[in-house]
Amino acid sequence: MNQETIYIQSFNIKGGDFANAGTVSVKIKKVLKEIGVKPEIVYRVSICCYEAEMNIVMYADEAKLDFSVTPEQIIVEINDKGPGIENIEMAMKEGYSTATREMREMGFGAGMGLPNIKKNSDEFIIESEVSKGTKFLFKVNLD
Amino acid sequence: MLNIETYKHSIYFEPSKCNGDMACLKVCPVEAIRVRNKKARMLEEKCIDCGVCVKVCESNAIIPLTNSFTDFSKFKYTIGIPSFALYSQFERQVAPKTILSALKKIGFDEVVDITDFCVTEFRAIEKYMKENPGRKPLISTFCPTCIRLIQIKYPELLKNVIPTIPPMELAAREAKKEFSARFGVDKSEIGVIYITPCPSKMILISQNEGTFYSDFDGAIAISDIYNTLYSAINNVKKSKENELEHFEINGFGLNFANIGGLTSLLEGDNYITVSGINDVLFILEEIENGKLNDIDLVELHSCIEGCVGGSLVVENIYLAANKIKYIIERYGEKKLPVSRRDSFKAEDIYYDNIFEPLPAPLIDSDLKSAITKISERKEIYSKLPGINCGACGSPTCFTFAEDIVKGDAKLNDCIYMFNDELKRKLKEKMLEILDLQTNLNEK
Repeated sequence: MNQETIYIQSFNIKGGDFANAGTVSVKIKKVLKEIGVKPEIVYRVSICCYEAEMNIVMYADEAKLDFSVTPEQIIVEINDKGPGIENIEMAMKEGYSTATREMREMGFGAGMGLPNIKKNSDEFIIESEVSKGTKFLFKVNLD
Repeated sequence: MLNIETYKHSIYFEPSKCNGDMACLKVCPVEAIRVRNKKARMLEEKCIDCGVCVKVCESNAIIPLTNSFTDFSKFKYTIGIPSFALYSQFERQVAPKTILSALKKIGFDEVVDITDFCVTEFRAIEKYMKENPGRKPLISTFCPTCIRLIQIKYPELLKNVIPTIPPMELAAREAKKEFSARFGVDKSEIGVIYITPCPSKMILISQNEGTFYSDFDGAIAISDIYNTLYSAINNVKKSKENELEHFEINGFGLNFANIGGLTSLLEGDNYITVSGINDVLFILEEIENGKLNDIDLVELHSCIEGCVGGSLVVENIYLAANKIKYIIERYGEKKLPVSRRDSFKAEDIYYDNIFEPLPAPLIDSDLKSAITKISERKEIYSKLPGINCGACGSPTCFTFAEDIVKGDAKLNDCIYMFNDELKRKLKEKMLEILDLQTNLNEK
């Protein structure tokens, strides 16, 4: 498989910044639309990015998101500094959430975030170390 | 030269009239205007026919492609159907029925008010909302500009648009049918004319193809008819009531004349009304980013205050809006009329798959070349002053960089870049001269 990266862009995301939550996924979506990625793929990537972004805003201190495009795939890698995920298996279950009451009142924390990324990506890797941080890597095929 | 058969727009830039003052360049909400060699021109794949440029052009070089009366001489009979905006163009005391009477007197064989059809429209929208509860937010708009904007910039949102045929279109179709039946004349002999506040209606009329079909045969601008109508109204006012034809205005349907009129009639309150093209752009962006998924319905109007804010009206838009409110206050009715039954069937009221996407062409159809061009654009953009002065003839430094990549502009068209180059060349020349002088002195 040709994995030559033809586009790369990095973003920083701050934890707790609810006012700007979602702006990175909007920027990524714009790029994808402009380079002519099919709407269905754009939709899937932006859902994944949005969920990942929300996850960072809700739980992590800060994160770096690397977004790259190869002729075959869209690859997003996110490394965050934060509490990490204790039980990844539970976190991947629909409806499971460790969100606080305040977060839920704001309409977040329905426990659909990680399952949604899994559902909308073609490959999803998650690694976490408690009290250090979490690494997300997801890929969406262009065809 | 403009080929009217294939041209897809309702406005036209006439180069011989353009004075190159660039007033239009900056106001275009979709960056669809470029000025080259002191003449403005339109990027046809980007223009949404909002008419904002028509309002600001002082040399009248942006020409609305509406019709004049003589265009309809080929029809034996004519039917006039006014936009609600016409009701707001005269003094407050002038009732809609007076305006309709006057309209008939200036040469139409029949004049049809659209309020009745708004009732049908209301029922159709209500029904559609009940049948599609999961699709949020639904978008309702009778504005051809808003539809075009969604087709070009937000094609994914087309599925949210309620596909009802607008009330004026229902009116046009029914009026033609009824007139033909009543007087036993062929439909081809009847011209149905929209009295329009803006040119955008023409994009529907001129593109009579497929399901994207209009029953109107043309449109006359309110501003073109205003003077004639004004004196006709004064004559009508002098006439006795029994000398005039009686026009019935449906009070419930009249609510549609106002922005937010539709949503004010619906049950519940989870609706948004947006008017003005820049706000429409903003809200569509928000919808696309999933921010409005809890809202039931969004009502869109390209012009501020709705159709009374069109580019082809005469009255000041806020006074016009004030008069619309007055007319609704006076003749309006909030209760849905129950006595009359609709003769319309669902297939008469909904378009089937009319709104096809019309995305603007990509920077390059090949993914890799597209990315290369985007990096090129970024590279060029980083050199530019970033003050968006527009002197180059592109509306912003960013669009200028894009135009260079497309081959439609060159870096030296930027006065800053040109200035730098000039300085550099001057310096070179000075050094040359100095060299020459030293050489001469040495000799």
